[in-house]
Amino acid sequence: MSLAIAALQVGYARQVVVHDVGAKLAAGTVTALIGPNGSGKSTLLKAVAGLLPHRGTVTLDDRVMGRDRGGAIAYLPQDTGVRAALTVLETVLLGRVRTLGLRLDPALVDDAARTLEGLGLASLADRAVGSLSGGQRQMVLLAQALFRAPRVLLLDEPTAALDLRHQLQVLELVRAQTSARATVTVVALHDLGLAARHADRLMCLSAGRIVAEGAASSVLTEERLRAVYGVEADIVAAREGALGVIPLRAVATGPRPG
Amino acid sequence: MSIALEHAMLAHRVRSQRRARRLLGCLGALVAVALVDLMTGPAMLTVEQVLDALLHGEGTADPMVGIIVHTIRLPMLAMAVIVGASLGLGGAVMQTILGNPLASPYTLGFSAAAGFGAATVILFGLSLPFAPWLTVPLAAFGATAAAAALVYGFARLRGATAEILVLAGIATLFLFQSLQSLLQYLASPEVLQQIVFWLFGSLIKASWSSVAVSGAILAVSLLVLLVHAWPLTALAFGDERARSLGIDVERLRVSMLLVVSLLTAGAVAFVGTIGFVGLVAPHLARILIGDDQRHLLPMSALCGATLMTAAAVVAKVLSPGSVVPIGIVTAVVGVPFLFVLIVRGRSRGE
Repeated sequence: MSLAIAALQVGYARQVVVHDVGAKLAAGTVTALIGPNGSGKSTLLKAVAGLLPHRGTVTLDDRVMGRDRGGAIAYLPQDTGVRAALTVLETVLLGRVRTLGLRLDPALVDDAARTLEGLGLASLADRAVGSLSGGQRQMVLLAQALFRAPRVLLLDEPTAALDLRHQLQVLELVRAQTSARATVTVVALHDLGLAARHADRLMCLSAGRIVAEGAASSVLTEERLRAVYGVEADIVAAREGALGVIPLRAVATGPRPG
Repeated sequence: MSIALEHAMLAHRVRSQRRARRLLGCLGALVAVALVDLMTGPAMLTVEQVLDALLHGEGTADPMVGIIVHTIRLPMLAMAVIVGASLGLGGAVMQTILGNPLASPYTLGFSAAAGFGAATVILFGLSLPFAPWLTVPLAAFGATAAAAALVYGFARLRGATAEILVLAGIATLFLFQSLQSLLQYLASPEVLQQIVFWLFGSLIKASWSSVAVSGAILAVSLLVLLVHAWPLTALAFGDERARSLGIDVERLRVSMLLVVSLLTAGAVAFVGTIGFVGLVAPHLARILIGDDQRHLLPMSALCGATLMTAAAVVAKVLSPGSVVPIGIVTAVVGVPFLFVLIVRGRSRGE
C-alpha cells in the first residue's frame, strides 16, 4: 500500500502556498515533514487530508481520492483545545462519529477502551478530557485518530506543547502504531533532532516546495540548514546513530527557497 | 482485560446509569411542578381534585373542576411545557453550534423577528379569512423565516463560521428590534397596547390547536437533533478537528440553525416573546448531565419545560385574580438563577 501525491498545488486567496508537490509514501513508514515557519507544512497536510481545496491528485492504492477522505485519512491538527465536558472514552469514541448511533454498541465501547489500553491510557478513560495535561490530551487525541483505524495518519506538530518525556512517548507510540497497523504516517515537526531520530525519512519544505527528501543524514546538512532556515548549525552524531542539530547563529542572508 | 480497563468500563456504565437517573429525576420534577400548576389559579384546587379531573375527564364529581382543568389550565400547561422545551432545546443547539455560552434563540434575532411579524399584522389589522386565529402566529413564523434566511445568506457569502453567524445574528437582532420600535411608534395607543401585550409573552393565548402545531414542531425538531447528536458533540473539538473527523461542519451548522429557527418560531408564534429560558435551561442541563448531546439535548428540553412551568406558577401566584405575563416572570426569575450558576462556576466532566 502507498500514498502518492502528484502535482499538488494549494493556495489561500490568490497566493499559492504549496507549489507542485509530488511524493510517494510507503505503508509502515514515518515521514517527517520539516521546514521553517510558513513553508507550507500545515497547508500541505490539510490538503492531503482533503480539508483544503487543491490542484493535483492524492492517490491511495492506485485509487485517486475524492473530496471526502475522512474514512481513510486521519488528520490531527496542532490545536488540542476542547470546549466541552467530555470523558476520555467519549472523546475516543468520537473518532468514529460517522458510525455512532444514539444507543452505543457495547462492542464499540469495548473497542474504544481497548484502544486506550493499548496506549497505556486505560486509567484515564473516565477522566474529563479538559482536565488532562497537554501531553495526556495529545495522547488521547492520538488514540481518537487510531480508533478510526486510518490507513493514513497525518500529524501536525504533535510534540509542540510537550516536555521531553512526552515528546518521546508520543513519537515512539506513533512509530510503533505505524509499523503494527501498516499506516502511511506523516508528521510535521520543528524539532530536527526528533525528526531525525523517529522518522524513516525526512521531507524538507521551503517556500511551498520540496527541496530535499530522503534519510536524515542526507537531508540534514549544514549547507541545507543555512539555505532553508537561514541558520548556521552544527550537525553532530549522537549515541545509537542519532543526529543532533545545534543551532549556532542566524545568518544575515536569511532563508531562501531551494 | 486489565484491572484499569475493567475500572474504566465500570465507571462508564455507572456514569450512563447516573445520567439516565438524572433525566428521570428531571422528568419527575416536571410532573410535580405541572401538578402544582394545575392546582394553582383563581380557584385553588387540591391534588385529589386535579387527579380526579385528569382521570375522569370532564365527567368528574365536580363538573366545574373538570372544566377548569381541561378547558383552561391543561392547554396553558401543555403550551408552557412545549414552549419551555423548545426554547431550552433551541438554546442548547445554539450554544453548541456557536461555541458560545451566551447564545440562545435570541442571539440571532429570531425572537425579535417573530415580534416584528406579529406587530406588523396587529398594526395593519390584517386577518386571514379562513383562520383568523392563525394570522399573528403565521406572521411571526414568516418573519422568523426571513431572519433565518438573512443569517443564512450571510453564512453563504462568508462561510458559516461561529463568528460570522454571531455577527450576522446580532445585525439581524438590531434590524428587527428597530423595525419593531418603528411599528410601535406608528401605532395608535390602542394598537400599541395590543402589540406590547403580544411582545410580553403570555400563555393566555394558548389553545389546543396551538398546542398541536407547536408540539408537532418540537417533536420533529427533537428527532432531527437527536440524529445529529454525535456530530454536534464533535463540534466541541473545534471546526478543524470536527472536519478532520469527516463532518461537514458548515452544512451541519446551517441545517441546525434552520431547525432552531423553526423551534423558536413554533415556541413564540402563539404565546409571544419569552426570554431567558433558552439561555438558562442549557446551562442547568450541562451542569446536571455534561456535554454528550445525546443526553444534553433531552435534558435541556426537560429543564426548559420545568423552568417555564415553574414560571407559570409564579406568574399566577404573584397577582391572585389576574396573571402576570409569563415573559416578564421568566426574566425576573431567570436572572438571579443565572447569577447563581455563574457564581457556582460551571461544573466540568460530568
